[in-house]
Amino acid sequence: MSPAALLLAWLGFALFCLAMPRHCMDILPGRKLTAWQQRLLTLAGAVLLLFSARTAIATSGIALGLTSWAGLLTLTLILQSLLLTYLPRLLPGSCVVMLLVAVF
Amino acid sequence: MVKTFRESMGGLHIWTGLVFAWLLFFMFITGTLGYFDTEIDRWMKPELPASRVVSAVQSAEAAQRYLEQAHPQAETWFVQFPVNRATSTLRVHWQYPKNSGRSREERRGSAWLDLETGQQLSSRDTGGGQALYRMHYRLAYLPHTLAEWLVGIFSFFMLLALISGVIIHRNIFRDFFTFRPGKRQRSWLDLHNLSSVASLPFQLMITYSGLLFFLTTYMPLIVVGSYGFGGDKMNAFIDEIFPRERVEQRHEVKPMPSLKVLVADAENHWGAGKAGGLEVHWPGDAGAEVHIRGPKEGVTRNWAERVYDADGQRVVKAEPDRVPQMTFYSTMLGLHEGTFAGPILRWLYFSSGLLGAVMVASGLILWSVKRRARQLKQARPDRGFMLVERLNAGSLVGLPIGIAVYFGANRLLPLAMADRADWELHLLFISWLAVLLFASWRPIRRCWIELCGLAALSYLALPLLNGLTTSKHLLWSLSEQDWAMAAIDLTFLVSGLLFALAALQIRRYWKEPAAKRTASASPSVPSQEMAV
Repeated sequence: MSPAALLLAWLGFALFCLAMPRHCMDILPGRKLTAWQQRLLTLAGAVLLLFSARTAIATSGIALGLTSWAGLLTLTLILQSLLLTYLPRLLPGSCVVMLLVAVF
Repeated sequence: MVKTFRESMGGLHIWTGLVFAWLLFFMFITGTLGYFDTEIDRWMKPELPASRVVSAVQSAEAAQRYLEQAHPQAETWFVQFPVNRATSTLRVHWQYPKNSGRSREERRGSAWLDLETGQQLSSRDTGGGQALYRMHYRLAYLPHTLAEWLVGIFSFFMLLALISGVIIHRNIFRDFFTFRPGKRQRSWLDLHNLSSVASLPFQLMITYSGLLFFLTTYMPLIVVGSYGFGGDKMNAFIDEIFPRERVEQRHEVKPMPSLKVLVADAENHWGAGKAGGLEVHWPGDAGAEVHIRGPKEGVTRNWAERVYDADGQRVVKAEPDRVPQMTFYSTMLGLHEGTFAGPILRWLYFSSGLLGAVMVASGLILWSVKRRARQLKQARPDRGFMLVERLNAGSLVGLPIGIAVYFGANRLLPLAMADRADWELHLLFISWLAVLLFASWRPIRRCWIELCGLAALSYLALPLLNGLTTSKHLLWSLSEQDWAMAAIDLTFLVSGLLFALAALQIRRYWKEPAAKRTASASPSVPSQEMAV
């Protein structure tokens, strides 16, 4: 299990949230993104998710890597949805925390 | 009436979901607990010493010391090393040859050994985590074949509900992160969608692979088509897909090589901590063979193997041929069981399993919430609606209460009682039945609050009960670093707190007048409510 894969998945999903108008309002009140910015964020999120899969596979092999990657995505999706519902402003902060966890 | 494809899939999803959901909930909960079967075993055998992770070399030495002294005449010894998960014992199995003059039951056996001394350990009679997890495919009180068929039919409809659910979900991407609490039907639909979309890869894998386990039971004619009718023909099929090499006895006594040395040699090759178990054929004979199991190959059930002869010399054997179909089968079964998972991945498996239970439970609740307003306008609500509402309260909270009683019975039943392990399970079902009866006459709102409160009390009481009836309380397990024991006690506490939270939230929600409820966006039942 690699912390880097978790970090990349977390950041990737966070970008997806930002790309959605409804959630973007919650995370950064008063901000409205253009359609191009939204598309760019979605693309960047997808790239990060692919890198996350790559990292997981590089750490534990294709079979175990993909299995743990699927588990990471499940966990990330649930936690970020709860965060968006109850404490949306904390989402950017959570990315920083993840970064620190992955680095140390 | 012409229906669109999506509408007809919706009907299929709702009605298959409803009919099969309660047993599926039971299968999800008991199966998910199976990912921590070893840890539950440890909690239910408090007499055993503190659990640790021990090296394979040390385990091999302890096992050899016991088996050479207690079962020197056996045909096969089998040892599983506790290298991956902390346990307090080493479990060894043995098997005697058919002509040994022993009865069928006496030919096989197993023992729990002390990891350091190799002495046999005894503990209370309990079903442990094994009895709990076995029920997810063998159910209870039913003949095995009938249970296999029932489980197969239910899994089949589960797969159907998953696929039709994906088809009828209108905005998978737009609602990806959406959970809107406090909005009744909308919130339950959000929870149902979120829990199933988030864990969809797991749910598809677990349901599909679950069906593969009893492939030959569900589709016997495929084997019959190639091999013919009868038990002999079935055995021929099994011998061919699971080839077993026979090791011949030479009837010449020869002292065994040290298993410890052989395991150390194998780990030199694979890396420390990689040997998973060993098998000895004809121990103490000149024809003896020691097979040491190496690391699992990815997520399959297969493993690498190194073989040694009676002199302790390595024997190089040809790699078995693996056809792609068998690799697929073994991968699916391996993924289902997750025995390859380390601690973090094991917790992820456990959470995905719980999400499956949340998915089933929220679907059931959604069904009744959706129909509630219209039903209450009628002079008498429909019988079917009443039944669903009562079965929901009685099962979704009743099963967790029954499981708490199962754990409690382990501590409270007299140690010398006959059929003690069976009674632990009887009490699970008796208490669940009692909850169902209670739910059948109590007003439904009071019933949910009272049952969640009861579940909270029972889970909070378990660590306390453990501390009162044994010396292995939470402070002991934490200070002795007996992580298996401590984790189970802590999980009880967390479950108890979540049920308490659920009871309080339901109470608050139903106290608010209906008009205010629709206006305000106060959080209602939290998503964790069913997460036990």
